[in-house]
Amino acid sequence: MTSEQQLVKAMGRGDEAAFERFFRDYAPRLYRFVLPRVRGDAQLAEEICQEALGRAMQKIAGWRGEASLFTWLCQIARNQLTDHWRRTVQREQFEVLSEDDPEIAAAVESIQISALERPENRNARAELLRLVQVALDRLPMNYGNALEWKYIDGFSVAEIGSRLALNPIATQSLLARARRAFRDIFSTLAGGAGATAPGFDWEDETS
Amino acid sequence: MTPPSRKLEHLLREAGHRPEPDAQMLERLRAATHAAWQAQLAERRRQRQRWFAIAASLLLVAVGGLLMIRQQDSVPAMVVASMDGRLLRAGEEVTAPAAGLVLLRMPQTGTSLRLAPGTRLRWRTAEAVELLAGRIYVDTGHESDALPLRIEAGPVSIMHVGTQFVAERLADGVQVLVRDGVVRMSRGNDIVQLSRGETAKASFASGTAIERTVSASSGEAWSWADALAPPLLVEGRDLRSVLQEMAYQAGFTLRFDQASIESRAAGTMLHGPAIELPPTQALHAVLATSDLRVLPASSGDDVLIGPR
Repeated sequence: MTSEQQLVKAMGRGDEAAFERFFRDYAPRLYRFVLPRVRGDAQLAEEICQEALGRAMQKIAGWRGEASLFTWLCQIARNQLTDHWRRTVQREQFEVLSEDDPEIAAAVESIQISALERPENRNARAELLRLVQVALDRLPMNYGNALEWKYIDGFSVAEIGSRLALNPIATQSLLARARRAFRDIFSTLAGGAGATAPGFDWEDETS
Repeated sequence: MTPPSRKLEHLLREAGHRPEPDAQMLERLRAATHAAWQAQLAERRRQRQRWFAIAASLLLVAVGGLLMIRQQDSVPAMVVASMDGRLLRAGEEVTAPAAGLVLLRMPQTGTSLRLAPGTRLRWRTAEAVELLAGRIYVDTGHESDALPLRIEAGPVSIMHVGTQFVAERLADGVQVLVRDGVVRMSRGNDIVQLSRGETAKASFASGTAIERTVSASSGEAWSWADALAPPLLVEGRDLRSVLQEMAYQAGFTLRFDQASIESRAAGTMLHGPAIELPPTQALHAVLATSDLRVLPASSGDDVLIGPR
Protein backbone atom coordinates (compact mmCIF):
# COMPACT_ATOMS: atom_id res chain seq x y z
CA MET A 1 0.00 0.00 0.00
CA THR A 2 1.44 3.38 -1.00
CA SER A 3 1.75 6.29 1.39
CA GLU A 4 -1.08 8.02 -0.46
CA GLN A 5 -3.30 5.00 -0.06
CA GLN A 6 -2.43 4.87 3.63
CA LEU A 7 -3.28 8.54 3.92
CA VAL A 8 -6.68 8.08 2.27
CA LYS A 9 -7.39 5.04 4.40
CA ALA A 10 -6.60 6.99 7.56
CA MET A 11 -8.90 9.78 6.42
CA GLY A 12 -11.62 7.20 5.92
CA ARG A 13 -11.22 6.27 9.57
CA GLY A 14 -11.73 9.90 10.57
CA ASP A 15 -8.07 10.55 11.39
CA GLU A 16 -7.77 14.33 11.86
CA ALA A 17 -3.99 14.28 11.49
CA ALA A 18 -4.37 12.54 8.15
CA PHE A 19 -6.80 15.20 6.99
CA GLU A 20 -4.43 17.98 8.01
CA ARG A 21 -1.59 16.31 6.14
CA PHE A 22 -3.79 15.86 3.08
CA PHE A 23 -4.80 19.50 3.09
CA ARG A 24 -1.26 20.78 3.75
CA ASP A 25 0.23 18.65 0.96
CA TYR A 26 -2.40 19.01 -1.73
CA ALA A 27 -4.50 22.14 -1.29
CA PRO A 28 -1.77 24.71 -2.11
CA ARG A 29 -0.72 22.70 -5.16
CA LEU A 30 -4.28 22.40 -6.32
CA TYR A 31 -4.75 26.13 -5.92
CA ARG A 32 -1.64 26.74 -8.03
CA PHE A 33 -3.06 24.34 -10.60
CA VAL A 34 -6.36 26.19 -10.78
CA LEU A 35 -5.15 29.81 -10.60
CA PRO A 36 -3.63 30.07 -14.10
CA ARG A 37 -6.70 28.35 -15.53
CA VAL A 38 -8.91 31.17 -14.32
CA ARG A 39 -6.46 33.84 -15.57
CA GLY A 40 -5.22 34.58 -12.09
CA ASP A 41 -8.65 35.29 -10.63
CA ALA A 42 -7.90 34.46 -6.98
CA GLN A 43 -11.52 34.56 -5.88
CA LEU A 44 -12.62 32.25 -8.66
CA ALA A 45 -9.66 29.96 -8.03
CA GLU A 46 -10.70 29.70 -4.40
CA GLU A 47 -14.26 28.92 -5.43
CA ILE A 48 -13.16 26.23 -7.87
CA CYS A 49 -10.77 24.73 -5.34
CA GLN A 50 -13.50 24.65 -2.70
CA GLU A 51 -15.87 22.90 -5.08
CA ALA A 52 -13.17 20.47 -6.18
CA LEU A 53 -12.01 19.61 -2.68
CA GLY A 54 -15.59 19.24 -1.46
CA ARG A 55 -16.29 16.91 -4.35
CA ALA A 56 -13.07 15.04 -3.59
CA MET A 57 -14.12 14.51 0.01
CA GLN A 58 -17.37 12.97 -1.21
CA LYS A 59 -15.56 10.59 -3.54
CA ILE A 60 -12.29 9.96 -1.76
CA ALA A 61 -13.38 6.56 -0.41
CA GLY A 62 -13.60 5.44 -4.02
CA TRP A 63 -10.06 6.50 -4.91
CA ARG A 64 -8.07 3.32 -5.50
CA GLY A 65 -4.69 4.75 -6.45
CA GLU A 66 -4.84 4.07 -10.18
CA ALA A 67 -3.60 7.64 -10.65
CA SER A 68 -1.72 9.71 -8.11
CA LEU A 69 -3.84 11.55 -5.60
CA PHE A 70 -2.82 14.91 -7.02
CA THR A 71 -3.66 13.82 -10.56
CA TRP A 72 -7.05 12.69 -9.32
CA LEU A 73 -7.62 16.03 -7.60
CA CYS A 74 -6.59 17.89 -10.76
CA GLN A 75 -9.08 15.89 -12.77
CA ILE A 76 -11.84 16.83 -10.37
CA ALA A 77 -10.76 20.47 -10.53
CA ARG A 78 -10.76 20.31 -14.32
CA ASN A 79 -14.32 19.00 -14.26
CA GLN A 80 -15.31 21.83 -11.92
CA LEU A 81 -13.69 24.33 -14.28
CA THR A 82 -15.58 22.88 -17.21
CA ASP A 83 -18.82 23.09 -15.26
CA HIS A 84 -18.00 26.65 -14.32
CA TRP A 85 -17.38 27.72 -17.90
CA ARG A 86 -20.56 26.07 -18.99
CA ARG A 87 -22.45 28.16 -16.48
CA THR A 88 -20.85 31.45 -17.43
CA VAL A 89 -20.83 33.68 -20.47
CA GLN A 90 -17.04 33.62 -20.47
CA ARG A 91 -16.98 30.19 -22.04
CA GLU A 92 -15.57 31.40 -25.33
CA GLN A 93 -12.76 33.21 -23.65
CA PHE A 94 -11.40 30.48 -21.43
CA GLU A 95 -12.30 27.06 -22.59
CA VAL A 96 -9.46 26.42 -25.03
CA LEU A 97 -6.95 24.30 -23.19
CA SER A 98 -4.08 22.21 -24.42
CA GLU A 99 -5.69 19.19 -22.76
CA ASP A 100 -7.10 18.65 -26.22
CA ASP A 101 -3.70 17.25 -27.14
CA PRO A 102 -3.98 13.61 -26.05
CA GLU A 103 -0.24 12.96 -26.18
CA ILE A 104 0.53 15.76 -23.76
CA ALA A 105 -2.39 14.89 -21.56
CA ALA A 106 -1.18 11.34 -21.35
CA ALA A 107 2.34 12.46 -20.56
CA VAL A 108 1.66 15.00 -17.89
CA GLU A 109 -1.78 13.83 -16.87
CA SER A 110 -3.39 16.92 -15.52
CA ILE A 111 -1.13 19.75 -16.54
CA GLN A 112 -2.39 21.88 -19.37
CA ILE A 113 -1.72 25.42 -20.36
CA SER A 114 -4.41 27.68 -21.66
CA ALA A 115 -3.88 28.95 -25.17
CA LEU A 116 -3.73 32.48 -23.95
CA GLU A 117 -0.76 31.57 -21.81
CA ARG A 118 1.30 29.89 -24.49
CA PRO A 119 4.84 31.18 -24.79
CA GLU A 120 4.32 32.58 -28.24
CA ASN A 121 1.73 34.89 -26.79
CA ARG A 122 3.73 35.84 -23.76
CA ASN A 123 7.26 36.13 -22.72
CA ALA A 124 8.79 32.74 -23.41
CA ARG A 125 11.28 32.96 -20.60
CA ALA A 126 8.66 33.88 -18.03
CA GLU A 127 6.49 31.06 -19.19
CA LEU A 128 9.30 28.55 -18.89
CA LEU A 129 10.02 29.73 -15.37
CA ARG A 130 6.35 29.33 -14.53
CA LEU A 131 6.50 25.83 -15.93
CA VAL A 132 9.36 25.13 -13.55
CA GLN A 133 6.97 25.79 -10.68
CA VAL A 134 4.26 23.75 -12.34
CA ALA A 135 6.70 20.88 -12.72
CA LEU A 136 7.64 21.13 -9.06
CA ASP A 137 3.99 20.85 -8.15
CA ARG A 138 3.64 17.82 -10.36
CA LEU A 139 6.39 16.00 -8.46
CA PRO A 140 5.73 14.03 -5.34
CA MET A 141 5.60 16.39 -2.40
CA ASN A 142 8.99 15.39 -1.02
CA TYR A 143 10.68 15.70 -4.40
CA GLY A 144 9.44 19.21 -5.07
CA ASN A 145 10.28 20.39 -1.57
CA ALA A 146 13.72 18.79 -1.65
CA LEU A 147 14.59 20.47 -4.96
CA GLU A 148 13.45 23.85 -3.65
CA TRP A 149 15.40 23.43 -0.42
CA LYS A 150 18.50 22.26 -2.26
CA TYR A 151 18.65 24.63 -5.22
CA ILE A 152 16.67 27.69 -4.16
CA ASP A 153 17.26 27.83 -0.40
CA GLY A 154 20.75 26.29 -0.53
CA PHE A 155 20.19 23.78 2.25
CA SER A 156 22.80 21.06 2.75
CA VAL A 157 22.01 17.41 2.24
CA ALA A 158 22.13 16.96 6.03
CA GLU A 159 19.59 19.75 6.56
CA ILE A 160 17.26 18.32 3.93
CA GLY A 161 17.67 14.86 5.44
CA SER A 162 16.78 16.26 8.82
CA ARG A 163 13.58 17.79 7.43
CA LEU A 164 12.61 14.57 5.70
CA ALA A 165 13.80 12.28 8.52
CA LEU A 166 16.24 10.57 6.13
CA ASN A 167 19.92 9.72 6.48
CA PRO A 168 22.39 11.43 4.09
CA ILE A 169 22.58 8.49 1.70
CA ALA A 170 18.83 8.20 1.43
CA THR A 171 18.61 11.98 0.99
CA GLN A 172 21.14 11.93 -1.83
CA SER A 173 19.19 9.14 -3.46
CA LEU A 174 15.93 11.06 -3.10
CA LEU A 175 17.49 14.16 -4.65
CA ALA A 176 18.73 12.14 -7.60
CA ARG A 177 15.29 10.69 -8.20
CA ALA A 178 13.74 14.13 -7.82
CA ARG A 179 16.08 15.59 -10.44
CA ARG A 180 15.25 12.85 -12.92
CA ALA A 181 11.54 13.23 -12.34
CA PHE A 182 11.73 17.00 -12.65
CA ARG A 183 13.67 16.72 -15.91
CA ASP A 184 11.07 14.37 -17.40
CA ILE A 185 8.09 16.47 -16.43
CA PHE A 186 9.63 19.82 -17.27
CA SER A 187 10.77 18.60 -20.70
CA THR A 188 7.28 17.37 -21.45
CA LEU A 189 5.68 20.60 -20.29
CA ALA A 190 8.09 22.81 -22.14
CA GLY A 191 7.79 20.78 -25.31
CA GLY A 192 4.01 20.59 -25.03
CA ALA A 193 3.87 24.34 -24.63
CA GLY A 194 5.75 24.72 -27.90
CA ALA A 195 8.80 26.11 -26.19
CA THR A 196 12.33 25.05 -25.51
CA ALA A 197 14.36 25.44 -22.40
CA PRO A 198 17.15 27.77 -23.54
CA GLY A 199 20.56 26.77 -22.36
CA PHE A 200 19.48 23.36 -21.08
CA ASP A 201 20.53 20.18 -22.76
CA TRP A 202 18.60 17.59 -20.79
CA GLU A 203 20.19 14.76 -22.68
CA ASP A 204 23.48 15.65 -21.03
CA GLU A 205 22.18 15.38 -17.53
CA THR A 206 23.38 12.26 -15.80
CA SER A 207 21.57 12.20 -12.53
CA MET B 1 28.18 19.58 -8.76
CA THR B 2 27.87 18.47 -12.36
CA PRO B 3 27.20 20.99 -15.09
CA PRO B 4 23.60 19.77 -15.60
CA SER B 5 23.01 20.17 -11.87
CA ARG B 6 24.29 23.70 -12.07
CA LYS B 7 21.83 24.30 -14.89
CA LEU B 8 19.07 22.88 -12.78
CA GLU B 9 20.07 25.05 -9.87
CA HIS B 10 20.12 28.12 -12.08
CA LEU B 11 16.71 27.39 -13.52
CA LEU B 12 15.13 26.71 -10.13
CA ARG B 13 16.65 29.80 -8.58
CA GLU B 14 15.44 31.93 -11.43
CA ALA B 15 11.93 30.51 -11.15
CA GLY B 16 11.95 30.95 -7.39
CA HIS B 17 9.66 29.42 -4.82
CA ARG B 18 6.27 28.34 -5.84
CA PRO B 19 3.84 31.02 -4.69
CA GLU B 20 2.12 30.21 -1.42
CA PRO B 21 -1.60 30.84 -1.49
CA ASP B 22 -2.95 33.49 0.83
CA ALA B 23 -3.10 32.15 4.38
CA GLN B 24 -6.61 33.44 5.06
CA MET B 25 -7.85 31.96 1.82
CA LEU B 26 -6.24 28.63 2.72
CA GLU B 27 -7.91 28.70 6.13
CA ARG B 28 -11.30 29.28 4.53
CA LEU B 29 -10.59 26.48 2.10
CA ARG B 30 -9.47 24.21 4.92
CA ALA B 31 -12.64 24.88 6.92
CA ALA B 32 -14.87 24.17 3.94
CA THR B 33 -12.97 21.00 3.03
CA HIS B 34 -12.97 19.80 6.62
CA ALA B 35 -16.73 20.31 6.82
CA ALA B 36 -17.18 18.34 3.61
CA TRP B 37 -14.93 15.59 4.94
CA GLN B 38 -16.85 15.38 8.23
CA ALA B 39 -20.17 15.32 6.39
CA GLN B 40 -18.95 12.47 4.25
CA LEU B 41 -17.70 10.53 7.28
CA ALA B 42 -21.08 10.98 8.93
CA GLU B 43 -22.85 9.82 5.79
CA ARG B 44 -20.64 6.74 5.59
CA ARG B 45 -21.40 5.95 9.21
CA ARG B 46 -25.12 6.24 8.49
CA GLN B 47 -24.70 4.02 5.45
CA ARG B 48 -22.84 1.42 7.48
CA GLN B 49 -25.58 1.49 10.11
CA ARG B 50 -28.23 1.11 7.42
CA TRP B 51 -26.35 -1.76 5.83
CA PHE B 52 -25.84 -3.38 9.21
CA ALA B 53 -29.53 -3.09 9.94
CA ILE B 54 -30.39 -4.54 6.53
CA ALA B 55 -27.85 -7.33 6.94
CA ALA B 56 -29.15 -8.13 10.39
CA SER B 57 -32.70 -8.23 9.07
CA LEU B 58 -31.68 -10.47 6.18
CA LEU B 59 -29.82 -12.73 8.58
CA LEU B 60 -32.86 -13.02 10.80
CA VAL B 61 -35.04 -13.81 7.82
CA ALA B 62 -32.52 -16.37 6.57
CA VAL B 63 -32.20 -18.03 9.95
CA GLY B 64 -35.95 -18.03 10.38
CA GLY B 65 -36.35 -19.53 6.94
CA LEU B 66 -33.76 -22.18 7.61
CA LEU B 67 -35.43 -23.08 10.87
CA MET B 68 -38.79 -23.33 9.13
CA ILE B 69 -37.29 -25.46 6.38
CA ARG B 70 -35.57 -27.66 8.91
CA GLN B 71 -38.78 -28.02 10.88
CA GLN B 72 -40.69 -28.84 7.74
CA ASP B 73 -38.11 -31.26 6.42
CA SER B 74 -37.05 -32.90 9.66
CA VAL B 75 -38.30 -36.26 10.73
CA PRO B 76 -40.33 -36.39 13.94
CA ALA B 77 -38.18 -36.08 17.03
CA MET B 78 -36.90 -39.30 18.53
CA VAL B 79 -39.17 -41.20 20.89
CA VAL B 80 -37.47 -40.97 24.24
CA ALA B 81 -40.00 -42.39 26.67
CA SER B 82 -43.47 -43.70 27.11
CA MET B 83 -46.09 -42.68 29.62
CA ASP B 84 -49.20 -44.86 29.95
CA GLY B 85 -48.76 -45.99 26.37
CA ARG B 86 -48.22 -42.47 25.06
CA LEU B 87 -44.93 -41.90 23.28
CA LEU B 88 -42.87 -38.93 24.34
CA ARG B 89 -40.43 -37.27 21.94
CA ALA B 90 -37.34 -35.21 22.49
CA GLY B 91 -38.28 -31.65 23.32
CA GLU B 92 -41.53 -32.56 25.01
CA GLU B 93 -42.31 -31.40 28.50
CA VAL B 94 -44.02 -33.59 31.07
CA THR B 95 -45.84 -32.33 34.15
CA ALA B 96 -47.04 -34.63 36.90
CA PRO B 97 -50.43 -33.74 38.35
CA ALA B 98 -50.43 -31.92 41.66
CA ALA B 99 -51.86 -34.94 43.45
CA GLY B 100 -50.55 -37.81 41.37
CA LEU B 101 -47.45 -39.70 40.43
CA VAL B 102 -46.20 -40.37 36.91
CA LEU B 103 -44.12 -43.28 35.69
CA LEU B 104 -42.06 -42.89 32.52
CA ARG B 105 -40.17 -45.63 30.78
CA MET B 106 -37.34 -45.18 28.35
CA PRO B 107 -37.65 -48.04 25.88
CA GLN B 108 -34.15 -47.67 24.47
CA THR B 109 -32.37 -47.92 27.79
CA GLY B 110 -34.75 -49.68 30.11
CA THR B 111 -34.50 -46.81 32.53
CA SER B 112 -37.62 -45.74 34.36
CA LEU B 113 -38.37 -42.35 35.84
CA ARG B 114 -40.87 -41.71 38.56
CA LEU B 115 -42.16 -38.20 38.92
CA ALA B 116 -43.38 -36.82 42.25
CA PRO B 117 -46.59 -34.75 42.25
CA GLY B 118 -46.14 -31.42 40.49
CA THR B 119 -42.84 -32.36 38.94
CA ARG B 120 -42.01 -30.85 35.54
CA LEU B 121 -39.30 -32.02 33.22
CA ARG B 122 -38.38 -31.60 29.60
CA TRP B 123 -36.76 -34.22 27.47
CA ARG B 124 -33.75 -32.82 25.74
CA THR B 125 -32.52 -36.02 24.14
CA ALA B 126 -32.74 -39.71 24.83
CA GLU B 127 -29.83 -39.24 27.23
CA ALA B 128 -30.71 -35.99 28.93
CA VAL B 129 -33.67 -34.48 30.73
CA GLU B 130 -34.02 -31.06 32.26
CA LEU B 131 -35.59 -31.03 35.69
CA LEU B 132 -37.67 -27.88 35.76
CA ALA B 133 -39.42 -28.45 39.08
CA GLY B 134 -40.08 -31.14 41.65
CA ARG B 135 -38.23 -34.43 42.02
CA ILE B 136 -37.69 -37.57 40.05
CA TYR B 137 -36.62 -41.05 40.91
CA VAL B 138 -34.35 -42.68 38.40
CA ASP B 139 -34.00 -46.41 38.12
CA THR B 140 -31.65 -47.70 35.46
CA GLY B 141 -32.49 -51.31 36.23
CA HIS B 142 -29.99 -54.03 36.87
CA GLU B 143 -28.06 -53.61 33.65
CA SER B 144 -24.81 -51.91 34.49
CA ASP B 145 -24.27 -51.03 30.84
CA ALA B 146 -27.49 -49.09 30.55
CA LEU B 147 -27.11 -45.87 28.62
CA PRO B 148 -26.34 -43.06 31.02
CA LEU B 149 -29.04 -40.52 31.64
CA ARG B 150 -28.05 -36.96 32.40
CA ILE B 151 -30.34 -34.79 34.46
CA GLU B 152 -29.86 -31.08 34.21
CA ALA B 153 -31.19 -28.44 36.54
CA GLY B 154 -29.80 -25.00 35.97
CA PRO B 155 -26.01 -25.14 36.27
CA VAL B 156 -26.15 -28.56 37.97
CA SER B 157 -25.74 -31.78 36.06
CA ILE B 158 -26.35 -35.25 37.44
CA MET B 159 -25.13 -38.38 35.71
CA HIS B 160 -25.83 -41.85 36.96
CA VAL B 161 -23.61 -44.85 36.50
CA GLY B 162 -26.13 -47.65 36.84
CA THR B 163 -28.16 -46.72 39.84
CA GLN B 164 -31.29 -45.61 41.58
CA PHE B 165 -31.48 -42.13 42.86
CA VAL B 166 -33.74 -39.18 43.43
CA ALA B 167 -32.99 -35.78 42.06
CA GLU B 168 -35.02 -32.93 43.49
CA ARG B 169 -35.04 -29.37 42.28
CA LEU B 170 -35.26 -27.03 45.25
CA ALA B 171 -35.78 -23.31 45.22
CA ASP B 172 -32.09 -22.62 45.55
CA GLY B 173 -30.43 -25.74 44.19
CA VAL B 174 -30.63 -29.43 43.50
CA GLN B 175 -30.53 -32.31 45.95
CA VAL B 176 -29.64 -35.87 45.08
CA LEU B 177 -30.27 -38.96 47.18
CA VAL B 178 -28.57 -42.15 46.06
CA ARG B 179 -30.22 -45.44 46.74
CA ASP B 180 -27.90 -47.65 44.77
CA GLY B 181 -24.95 -47.51 42.41
CA VAL B 182 -22.94 -44.40 41.69
CA VAL B 183 -24.06 -40.92 40.74
CA ARG B 184 -21.81 -38.14 39.53
CA MET B 185 -23.01 -34.65 40.34
CA SER B 186 -21.34 -31.61 38.86
CA ARG B 187 -21.66 -27.86 38.74
CA GLY B 188 -18.93 -26.31 36.67
CA ASN B 189 -15.63 -27.71 37.84
CA ASP B 190 -17.07 -28.91 41.14
CA ILE B 191 -17.73 -32.63 40.77
CA VAL B 192 -18.68 -35.14 43.45
CA GLN B 193 -19.29 -38.84 43.08
CA LEU B 194 -21.98 -40.24 45.32
CA SER B 195 -22.72 -43.83 46.22
CA ARG B 196 -25.39 -45.68 48.07
CA GLY B 197 -26.68 -43.89 51.15
CA GLU B 198 -25.24 -40.51 50.25
CA THR B 199 -26.98 -37.23 49.69
CA ALA B 200 -25.60 -34.11 48.12
CA LYS B 201 -26.91 -30.64 47.55
CA ALA B 202 -25.62 -28.26 44.92
CA SER B 203 -26.66 -24.64 45.19
CA PHE B 204 -27.49 -22.63 42.10
CA ALA B 205 -25.43 -19.80 43.55
CA SER B 206 -21.87 -19.73 42.33
CA GLY B 207 -18.97 -19.93 44.72
CA THR B 208 -20.47 -22.59 46.97
CA ALA B 209 -19.25 -26.16 47.08
CA ILE B 210 -21.51 -29.16 46.68
CA GLU B 211 -22.50 -30.36 50.14
CA ARG B 212 -22.64 -34.08 50.76
CA THR B 213 -24.15 -35.96 53.73
CA VAL B 214 -25.18 -39.48 54.63
CA SER B 215 -28.79 -40.48 54.16
CA ALA B 216 -30.97 -43.55 54.22
CA SER B 217 -31.42 -45.47 51.03
CA SER B 218 -34.84 -46.65 52.05
CA GLY B 219 -37.69 -45.55 54.23
CA GLU B 220 -39.86 -42.48 54.38
CA ALA B 221 -37.77 -40.31 52.07
CA TRP B 222 -38.27 -42.84 49.29
CA SER B 223 -41.83 -43.92 49.94
CA TRP B 224 -43.30 -41.66 47.27
CA ALA B 225 -41.13 -43.26 44.63
CA ASP B 226 -41.66 -46.75 45.96
CA ALA B 227 -45.35 -46.27 45.30
CA LEU B 228 -44.53 -46.42 41.61
CA ALA B 229 -42.30 -49.44 41.78
CA PRO B 230 -43.05 -51.86 38.98
CA PRO B 231 -45.31 -54.81 39.72
CA LEU B 232 -43.40 -57.66 41.31
CA LEU B 233 -43.47 -60.73 39.09
CA VAL B 234 -43.39 -63.94 41.15
CA GLU B 235 -44.68 -66.68 38.89
CA GLY B 236 -42.02 -69.35 38.46
CA ARG B 237 -39.35 -67.49 40.39
CA ASP B 238 -37.57 -68.60 43.54
CA LEU B 239 -38.12 -66.75 46.76
CA ARG B 240 -34.50 -65.58 47.03
CA SER B 241 -34.55 -63.80 43.67
CA VAL B 242 -37.90 -62.21 44.44
CA LEU B 243 -36.58 -60.97 47.79
CA GLN B 244 -33.51 -59.57 46.05
CA GLU B 245 -35.75 -57.81 43.56
CA MET B 246 -37.75 -56.23 46.33
CA ALA B 247 -34.57 -55.18 48.16
CA TYR B 248 -33.38 -53.48 45.00
CA GLN B 249 -36.70 -51.75 44.52
CA ALA B 250 -36.97 -50.66 48.16
CA GLY B 251 -33.35 -49.68 48.55
CA PHE B 252 -32.48 -51.93 51.45
CA THR B 253 -29.68 -54.46 51.86
CA LEU B 254 -30.89 -58.02 52.03
CA ARG B 255 -29.12 -60.38 54.42
CA PHE B 256 -29.93 -63.91 55.50
CA ASP B 257 -29.47 -64.88 59.08
CA GLN B 258 -27.89 -68.17 58.07
CA ALA B 259 -26.58 -69.66 54.84
CA SER B 260 -29.14 -72.42 55.21
CA ILE B 261 -31.89 -69.83 55.22
CA GLU B 262 -30.63 -68.38 51.95
CA SER B 263 -30.50 -71.91 50.47
CA ARG B 264 -34.00 -72.55 51.63
CA ALA B 265 -35.20 -69.34 49.97
CA ALA B 266 -33.39 -70.26 46.80
CA GLY B 267 -35.24 -73.57 46.75
CA THR B 268 -38.70 -72.15 47.33
CA MET B 269 -40.60 -71.63 44.09
CA LEU B 270 -43.36 -69.07 43.92
CA HIS B 271 -46.51 -69.01 41.81
CA GLY B 272 -49.20 -66.43 41.38
CA PRO B 273 -50.07 -63.08 39.79
CA ALA B 274 -47.84 -60.03 39.89
CA ILE B 275 -47.89 -58.20 43.16
CA GLU B 276 -48.74 -54.52 42.69
CA LEU B 277 -47.71 -53.15 46.05
CA PRO B 278 -44.89 -50.89 47.19
CA PRO B 279 -41.78 -53.03 47.71
CA THR B 280 -41.86 -52.96 51.52
CA GLN B 281 -45.48 -54.07 51.64
CA ALA B 282 -44.83 -56.65 48.92
CA LEU B 283 -41.98 -58.05 51.02
CA HIS B 284 -44.25 -58.78 53.93
CA ALA B 285 -46.90 -60.17 51.61
CA VAL B 286 -44.52 -62.60 49.98
CA LEU B 287 -42.86 -63.68 53.22
CA ALA B 288 -46.31 -64.35 54.67
CA THR B 289 -46.68 -67.21 52.21
CA SER B 290 -43.38 -68.79 53.32
CA ASP B 291 -41.70 -69.99 56.52
CA LEU B 292 -39.35 -66.98 56.59
CA ARG B 293 -39.73 -63.56 58.17
CA VAL B 294 -38.01 -60.23 58.75
CA LEU B 295 -36.09 -60.57 61.98
CA PRO B 296 -36.29 -57.82 64.61
CA ALA B 297 -32.52 -57.43 64.39
CA SER B 298 -33.10 -55.63 61.12
CA SER B 299 -32.29 -51.94 61.27
CA GLY B 300 -32.24 -49.03 58.94
CA ASP B 301 -31.41 -50.11 55.43
CA ASP B 302 -30.48 -53.65 56.48
CA VAL B 303 -33.19 -56.28 56.33
CA LEU B 304 -32.32 -59.58 57.98
CA ILE B 305 -34.28 -62.66 56.91
CA GLY B 306 -34.54 -65.53 59.26
CA PRO B 307 -36.79 -68.44 60.10
CA ARG B 308 -40.26 -67.86 61.25
